[in-house]
Amino acid sequence: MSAIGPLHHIGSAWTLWPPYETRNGLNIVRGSRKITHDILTVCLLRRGEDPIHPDLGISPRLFEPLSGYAPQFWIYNIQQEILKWVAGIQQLYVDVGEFKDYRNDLTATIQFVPLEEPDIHVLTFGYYAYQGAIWNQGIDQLLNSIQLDGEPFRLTL
Amino acid sequence: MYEQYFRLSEYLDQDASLIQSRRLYSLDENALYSAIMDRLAQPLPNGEESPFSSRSPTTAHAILTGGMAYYQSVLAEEFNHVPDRTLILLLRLMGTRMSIAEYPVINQVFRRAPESLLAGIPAIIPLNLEVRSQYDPTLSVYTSLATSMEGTAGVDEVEREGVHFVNVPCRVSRIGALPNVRLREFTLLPRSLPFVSESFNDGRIVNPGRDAETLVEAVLRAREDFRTGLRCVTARDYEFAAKLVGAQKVRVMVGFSPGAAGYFGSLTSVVVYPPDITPSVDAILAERVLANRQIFTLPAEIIPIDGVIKPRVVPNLSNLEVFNLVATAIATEVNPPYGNWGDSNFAQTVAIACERQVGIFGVPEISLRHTITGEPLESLDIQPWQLLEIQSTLQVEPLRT
Repeated sequence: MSAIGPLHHIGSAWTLWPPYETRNGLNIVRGSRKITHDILTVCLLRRGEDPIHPDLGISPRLFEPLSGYAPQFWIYNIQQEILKWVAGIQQLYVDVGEFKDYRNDLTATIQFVPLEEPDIHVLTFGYYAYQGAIWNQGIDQLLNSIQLDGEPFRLTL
Repeated sequence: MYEQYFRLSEYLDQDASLIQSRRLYSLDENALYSAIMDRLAQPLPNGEESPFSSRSPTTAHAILTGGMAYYQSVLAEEFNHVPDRTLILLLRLMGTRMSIAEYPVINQVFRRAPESLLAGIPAIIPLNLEVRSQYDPTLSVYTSLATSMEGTAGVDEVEREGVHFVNVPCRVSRIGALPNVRLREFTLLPRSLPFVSESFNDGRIVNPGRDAETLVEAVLRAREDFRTGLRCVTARDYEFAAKLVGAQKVRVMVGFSPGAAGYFGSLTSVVVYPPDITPSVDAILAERVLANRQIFTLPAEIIPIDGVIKPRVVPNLSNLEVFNLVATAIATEVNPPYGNWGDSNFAQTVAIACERQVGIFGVPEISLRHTITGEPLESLDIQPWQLLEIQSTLQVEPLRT
């Protein structure tokens, strides 16, 4: 048994983003990467998709517009949902901003301070890629755009 | 000819659900989900932490487990909704046969008359001899074999009771399950039978008899058979088959057997209690086992245990009452066929059983040992095919302060 360190209590998990690594088999996450993975699951799961936990995930409103969507509403909702479902977060900050103005792109930024770890982690992904993933398009573009602390989330250490 | 069929139809019209006891599959998906998640979170055999130690519902293994449990419950629900008529038709296609009625057989004692004994004249009991009931004129028993009592004896030997008698299994005149029969009920011998002083039934039942099976019972029985498939594959199948022939407690062990060192992949050891049922279990397993499996049926090894139990009891109970409480607890929860196989916490099992009795607060002191060798329980090497049985030499010393 390994020594009990910070964030030990949240355990380790198999992540779906992506489910496996070419070289390392199943993608197992722990610590702050596990928190990141939980946040992504809450963002990407539709409410009712998990029959055992029918409240898990977010529910887009009926007839929600596919374009001209106001991110403020999403920011408010996702903050509530993350705090409800993800363990081990001390502080959470969610924002959607235009960092790449010339590409007409929006970037979602989720900053969190884990419990027992004096560090701040920044999770970013393309907001429109995310909207496409939960609506009607492929997930690959989103997975490529997910970055944790400036590095692609796909890489495992 | 169609009378039984009409009776079944009538039964089905009255009660749409043929299964009265419980549903075929009562699956609780939340309990199943929790059980799988608990199992996944267990540490690995080498002591490392499980990679699936998180139980939060956002993890991939939780989502997969939840989906699996949900679809399993959907399947179980669908199966429960298959109407019974459909199942009955299926069972009929599979060739369900109804078992016929059987006569009960009881034991009858015939005692030889003293004069025949002194004179040395044999007393002959013929086949199909009728002995009537002294209470019910329509009931009688018939001897199922012919026998005779021969030999001579002196006067002093004759005076001792019970020297010359013979047991004869007798068929009861009424077919079906054995009716209520009193001890020494069948005593009216025919007057033409010489040299037999008396005859009576001593209460022993050779075969309890059986009523003719109705179609409803046949369908229910066939359904039980259908669930096991007349084949022994899982441990539950072995247990079911062994219990069919009267085993009360069964332990199935795969890969090893008592007294043989090593692992044998194709071997299944079946330990049964009571020990004298072993040949019957062996016979029924031999016809149900798969082709490449080896079966080793053996009786349970019973270790006699006694010692001292000091229960803390309510003050107004006498020592005899306390002993009866402890004895009741042991006889109904600890001794075979109850209790656990290879119980390494046997003292705790006994203490918990005693504490369930009203009047016993707790069992602060308990010291148990092997009845024959006197070895203390802690130093015994209890094996999984062993059952521990507390003997009547157990001492109970109540603590009242």
